[in-house]
Amino acid sequence: MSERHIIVIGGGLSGVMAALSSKSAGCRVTLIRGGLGRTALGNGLVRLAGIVRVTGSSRYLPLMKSVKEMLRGNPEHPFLRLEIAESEAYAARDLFVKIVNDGYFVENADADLLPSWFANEIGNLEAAHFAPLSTARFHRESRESVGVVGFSGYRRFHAEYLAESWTRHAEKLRLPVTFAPVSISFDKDGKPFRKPAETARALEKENELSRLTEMLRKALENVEVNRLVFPPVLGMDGSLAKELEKRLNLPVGEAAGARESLAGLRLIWLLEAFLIAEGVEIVSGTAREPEMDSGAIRSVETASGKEENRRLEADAFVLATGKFLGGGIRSVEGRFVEPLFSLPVFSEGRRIEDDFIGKLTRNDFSAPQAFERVGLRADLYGRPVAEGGGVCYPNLFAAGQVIGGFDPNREGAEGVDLISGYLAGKRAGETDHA
Amino acid sequence: MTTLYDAIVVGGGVNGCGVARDLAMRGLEVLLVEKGDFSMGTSWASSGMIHGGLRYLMSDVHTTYKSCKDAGYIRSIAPHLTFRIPFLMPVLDDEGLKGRVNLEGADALFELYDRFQPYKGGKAHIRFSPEEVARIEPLIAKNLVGAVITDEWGIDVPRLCVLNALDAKRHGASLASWTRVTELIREGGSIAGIRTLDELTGEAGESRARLVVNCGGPWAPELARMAGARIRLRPAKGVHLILDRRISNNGIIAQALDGRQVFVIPHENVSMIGTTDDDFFGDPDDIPILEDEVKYLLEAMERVIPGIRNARVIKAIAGIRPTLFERAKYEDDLTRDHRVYDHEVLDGVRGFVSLAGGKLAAYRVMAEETADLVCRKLGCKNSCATHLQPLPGGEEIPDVEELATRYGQDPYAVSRLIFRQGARAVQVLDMMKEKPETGVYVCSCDPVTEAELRFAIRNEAVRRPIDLISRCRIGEGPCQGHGCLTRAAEIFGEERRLSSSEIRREALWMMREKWRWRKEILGGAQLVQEELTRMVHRSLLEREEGR
Repeated sequence: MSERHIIVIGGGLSGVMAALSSKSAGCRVTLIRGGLGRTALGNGLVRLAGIVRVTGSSRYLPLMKSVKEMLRGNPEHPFLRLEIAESEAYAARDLFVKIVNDGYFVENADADLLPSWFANEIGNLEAAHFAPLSTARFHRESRESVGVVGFSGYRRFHAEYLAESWTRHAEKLRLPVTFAPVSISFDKDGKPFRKPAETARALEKENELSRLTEMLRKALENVEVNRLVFPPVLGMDGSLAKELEKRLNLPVGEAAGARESLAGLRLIWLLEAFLIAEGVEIVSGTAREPEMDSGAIRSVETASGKEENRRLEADAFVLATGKFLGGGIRSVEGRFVEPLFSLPVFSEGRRIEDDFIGKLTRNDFSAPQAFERVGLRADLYGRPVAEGGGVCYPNLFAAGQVIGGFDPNREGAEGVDLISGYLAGKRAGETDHA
Repeated sequence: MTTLYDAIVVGGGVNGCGVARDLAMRGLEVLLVEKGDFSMGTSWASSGMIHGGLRYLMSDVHTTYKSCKDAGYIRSIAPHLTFRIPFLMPVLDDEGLKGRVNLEGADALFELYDRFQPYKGGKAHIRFSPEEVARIEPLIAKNLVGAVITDEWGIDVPRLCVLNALDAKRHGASLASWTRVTELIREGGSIAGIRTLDELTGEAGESRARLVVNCGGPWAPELARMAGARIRLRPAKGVHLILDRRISNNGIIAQALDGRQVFVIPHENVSMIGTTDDDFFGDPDDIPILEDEVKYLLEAMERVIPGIRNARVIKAIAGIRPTLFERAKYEDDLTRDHRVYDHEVLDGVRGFVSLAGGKLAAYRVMAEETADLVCRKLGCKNSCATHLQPLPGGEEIPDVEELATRYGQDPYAVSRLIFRQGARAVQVLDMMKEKPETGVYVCSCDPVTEAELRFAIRNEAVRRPIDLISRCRIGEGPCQGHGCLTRAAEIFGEERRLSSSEIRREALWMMREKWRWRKEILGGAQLVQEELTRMVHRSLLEREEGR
């Protein structure tokens, strides 16, 4: 019997999880990836579930409790529809840990896993379960005084403002952390750096890094701090954090990015390295024009515009194309479509087609919005279903943000990516689904 | 001791700002009160055209003459703020003989209009063959009989309001934006002043004047009621769709399903599709945009520009026309005329005058008429000079290339700066020269530098960061403030020494305001942008912890 072949469409967090779990199930795996999506544009922080505060206190719920809380009011959440067992959630987490081990903070995901706090560029402390190693993390216990390093002219990162803002947030969260500004005039021949990548590349040059180190040594003579937070520009891969730590003899970290961040790209690079090491074939381009045979999907064509188009056959397919950012769900002339397989799109369990977007939005910007929950609906194996609940294609599985029914920003987008990706890959690798 | 003003002008739209400027220039002590920021009501939602009244040509030549003359005045006092919009009227051949007759009719009408063009610096009309149209505007449908083109002017209305207010201030007026009138002070049969609520500080206030001028636009009837007087409007809602870029170089007219004329016009660096005209009986503070209105506009434009649905709509705006009351008329046929109300004569209420109706292009002459009445009542003999003196920055328009070279800045960014600031652009460029870090673009959709924001915060009656949207046109591009609003709030906070929580509150306020105007049109690329915006700002979306 020949090896089972799985095609994963989408190279973000969920697609990579699916590819690797199919791979570990012993399948041959091809991953088709297009442009940058939500994972690449994000700030690298991973939330496994919504962050839920204990009523009447500043404490947050442990992971499993907050998952239960989150699911109680939402029967459409993929965690429920996929009937995820705890053991599967842990297996997904273990796989992610294996992938990012060298680059991420990883804690034991036992039932008490509490989110950690990370300072972000907008001036908030953002809770997450995992974060890049270079991102500064603040504990509930260790008393710290953190120096906030701002380069004058690097206007996205204003030390005085951020120090004040983070300190205020830390007080609210009862974290024993205080922040103090450390402003230096680090620029490029009198002109400010404009973009994170430009700054990060400059710092990778030894002369720039030593210039920065010297400035900091001087600036730190008058400030009493036991940790430093930088703009998220410490090298393209974040590794300069370690280097600066050595030179300054102080723990050094980056703030989580917000408006333009390298952290998402760094995560993509980690994922890519692991895919290559595991022997997953990567095809760059978009998937299109699927061919069906007796109700199942047989092949898709890949188009990159550079190489010749290829038609790839497989036994099963995982759709991990994301929501709007990834292009997995589109709104074309007011109609919601899944562009590759023309799968039906749902909102809150109801099929939508040419619904006026105004009916899926609410006036209050901060309120939960129905349009954010738009996506495919899956059966318990993760297979997209039609309106009546019947499976669209027996060998097509969905993963990540393309699945609807949850609010990505409030209900743990990355948690859905990890777990639904892991399950989609695993189930695509199995031969029989009753 | 409280100041006794000569006049308090209520309403900071283009009429109120215009009246305040006129009265201040005549030497009166003036207070201008606006419940939001200047231009935030009807003015902001207008098409931004100072047209010469082509539509009145058949019925009322005098109005056309007056309109063209005044358009010319506005051009001359704010030359930097205006831009030419050639208006193309394509005639489709599916209308058969009627189409051909229409073309001849339009040609004749435009020819008559040519006689008025010199008053406003406009050019004579031209008739085009279908081939010529295809060359000028390749997006237009190919099944044409021909087209005629005439010349009009567009203007940045929010800035026009702000410049009028600032010029009023330069002539001694006091400005109070974000100040709501809660009550009119009545003494005997006379209005003696206003009681106010400062929307920012929550402080109650009181100001007294010999006369109160009601320039409330759609809110004018409510204010009149507070005075015990009566204004009757027939308010109509107008909706525009804003595209992410200019899709044409000319304004293009199309016929809607119901026979009304709608258009797409280039406006600054975007295009606008407009407009609807429907009776509106709701709350002018909460104007919904309906599915029907969006579809109506797109359907109408599609006939003339078949690919219009591929365009990226970045927001929809709605405003209320404060049209004068008339019965048994379609909305479009309602007069665009205005009326100055002397409530002493009409309702026996002394010390209270209202201006209602009208159109943007006539704002200056309407303000003049209102100021004339106010002056008669107050015994002021000075006459109007608002058509003679330039608005701030309008003294002369600097040369783009010359400034770009001299300051080493990008010519496009400099041209946009000059568009907004006119002669004052040099002051902003000087700041960038002195402090190069202020040369960083805060908004890259319409290149706006930190220096321009700081200049506006210091010099342009800015009370909160959201005011910067009308001062500098931030947050108006495809990303709808995703990249710039929080930055603008931080810069404002730095200038005014706000705490981080105040900055955060202001940033969130701006995000909320912007959201209202795009929530009905999210589709295509705009939906993609929305997912990104919400992901990046997810920490801002969270409730304040511990509250």
